Amino acid sequence: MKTQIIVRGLIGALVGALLLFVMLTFQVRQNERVVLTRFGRPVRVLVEPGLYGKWPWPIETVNRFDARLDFYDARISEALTRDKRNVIIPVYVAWRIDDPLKFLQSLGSADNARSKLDGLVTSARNTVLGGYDFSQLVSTNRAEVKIPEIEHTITDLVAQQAKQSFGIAVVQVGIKRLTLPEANTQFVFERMRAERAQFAAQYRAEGQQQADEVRAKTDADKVVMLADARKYAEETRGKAEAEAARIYRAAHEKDPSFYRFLRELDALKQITSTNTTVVLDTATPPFDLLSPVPKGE
Amino acid sequence: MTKPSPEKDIGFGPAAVLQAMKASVRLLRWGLLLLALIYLVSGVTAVGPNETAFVLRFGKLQPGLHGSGLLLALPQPIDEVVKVPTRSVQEVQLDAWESSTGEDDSAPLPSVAGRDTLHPVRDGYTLTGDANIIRARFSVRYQVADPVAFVLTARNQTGLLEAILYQAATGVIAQMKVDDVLASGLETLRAQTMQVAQAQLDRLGLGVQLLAFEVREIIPARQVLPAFEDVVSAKVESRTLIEQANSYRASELPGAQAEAYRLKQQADASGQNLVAKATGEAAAFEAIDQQYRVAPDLMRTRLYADAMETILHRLQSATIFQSSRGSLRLYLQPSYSPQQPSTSEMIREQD
Repeated sequence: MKTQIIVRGLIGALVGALLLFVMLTFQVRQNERVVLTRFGRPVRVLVEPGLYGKWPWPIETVNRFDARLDFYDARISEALTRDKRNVIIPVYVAWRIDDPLKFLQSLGSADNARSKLDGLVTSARNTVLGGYDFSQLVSTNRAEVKIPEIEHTITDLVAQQAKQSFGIAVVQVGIKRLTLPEANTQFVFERMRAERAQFAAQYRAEGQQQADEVRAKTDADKVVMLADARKYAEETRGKAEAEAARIYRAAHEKDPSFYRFLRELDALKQITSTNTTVVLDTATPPFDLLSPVPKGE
Repeated sequence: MTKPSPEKDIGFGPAAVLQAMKASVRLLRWGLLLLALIYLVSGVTAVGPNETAFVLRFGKLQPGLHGSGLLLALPQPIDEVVKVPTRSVQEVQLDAWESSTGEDDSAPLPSVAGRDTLHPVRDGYTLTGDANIIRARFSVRYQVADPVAFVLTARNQTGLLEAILYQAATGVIAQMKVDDVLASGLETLRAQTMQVAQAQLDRLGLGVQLLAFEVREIIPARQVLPAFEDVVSAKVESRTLIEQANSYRASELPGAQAEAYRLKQQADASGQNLVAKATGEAAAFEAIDQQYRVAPDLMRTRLYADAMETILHRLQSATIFQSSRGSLRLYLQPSYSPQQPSTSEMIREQD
């Protein structure tokens, strides 16, 4: 009976202690910032994680804020570059609560912060873009593109104001895409098509030209090659004929009259054929042997 | 006495109720004890093979990371065990630059100017360095390098990671020509985007290590796709034309070479032939000449007679006149006399 009372007492004390613990303490998580308010009036700002004591509700209230980086996509709007080109540049904003007290007093919640930041970002973006040309956003010349610089300028501008008015640290404003107003895309498409058509025509023309060049060169090479060969042939033949003539002359010079005789005989042999009819004098050898006979047929 | 026994049996009497309550209280006590026990060991956590864990005690980060295995921690309000999958490779698909409303063709969008425009929000796209519109789908693989930083730095880590990657890709593409983006510069795009994004992640201290950034698809806007395809086919056509010309050259030149070679060889041969013939004939002449010098008259007569023999033998007819009979009249064929054609015909028939 006695032990039962002790046990009950113990349990009661434990429950009581637990209740007190829950009512009188709170934790600040590693990633949290807390503003403790007494009847709505901020009394303590806690940035260090750990266990803290407080007066029970409704005297003191714990206002917790997640101090981690949050990000959101800013509302899009058209902006004008320095060279009067319309662009739409969606950006994201990475931010976190830096001064929880100021944040609590000026905004109160993350949703509220976003809509307030939106205004800051939009105006900063439009201001900064007005100082840059379109070619500093997109260009094939690497040195000309100033996107990181633009991002930094916007970030700095927003960060300053956000910190002063809302206790928010804007860590990064990043350009997520580069786009154009919807109506303008049509003209871009037309330009792209024209550009492509030009490329296509150029490729075709270049191919045709190169092919023609190769063919023409082939034909020319062929002609030159054959002409060379013919020239060589003519030269060779000429040389050979000259050589032959020299050889003949060298031989015939030794006895021109005999050569003439031989040559004439040869010619005689050559020019007579079976169809030839010759009329001869009987004095012609060897018919001079037939001289007693008046007529031989 | 007052209570009927059947009532007691069924359990409707006050005594029965009391007894039942006592029994349930006992049961409740045991149950509570069991619950307390379960609560006391609830802090003990198994850390999976791909995880790393750390402990927040009263919200404060405790030093030391815990690898896989059993982690002895205190129960909930005191300790909080945060487990992060550090070893597993996470993959995120980045599809926002495709049409955010699904397929363009299937989406019945009441677009203002028909289908030849892109909406800056609905349709994801960006501009290249030469102000061409392209769309793309990426994927990224990453690993948590620093679990504490990963959990405690950002609230929506994946979202922020995606935003940073889009930012990096936009920056890189804005410096590239559309032709490079679509073809040869893809590797540059991949490498640079990853590099820029990693630098940004490190700057924000997100504790993320990028492993790979893949371009799953990168295409010009659907509206101009045929134009781009035409350029590709123009390239192919052009290459085909050049190939054809090259093969024409390859087939024609050897023929010409062979022909030229043949001509040269022929010339060489006939030249040599000519010289050889001349040499031979000259040698023959000299040989005969030598004999002739020994006995000129004899030689001359013999040669003459030989020639006559050959000639007269071959002749169709020979008419021999005696020169003493008077003047000699020569009739040479073809003659104009009427008999002659028939004679020649006859001769031909005889042949």
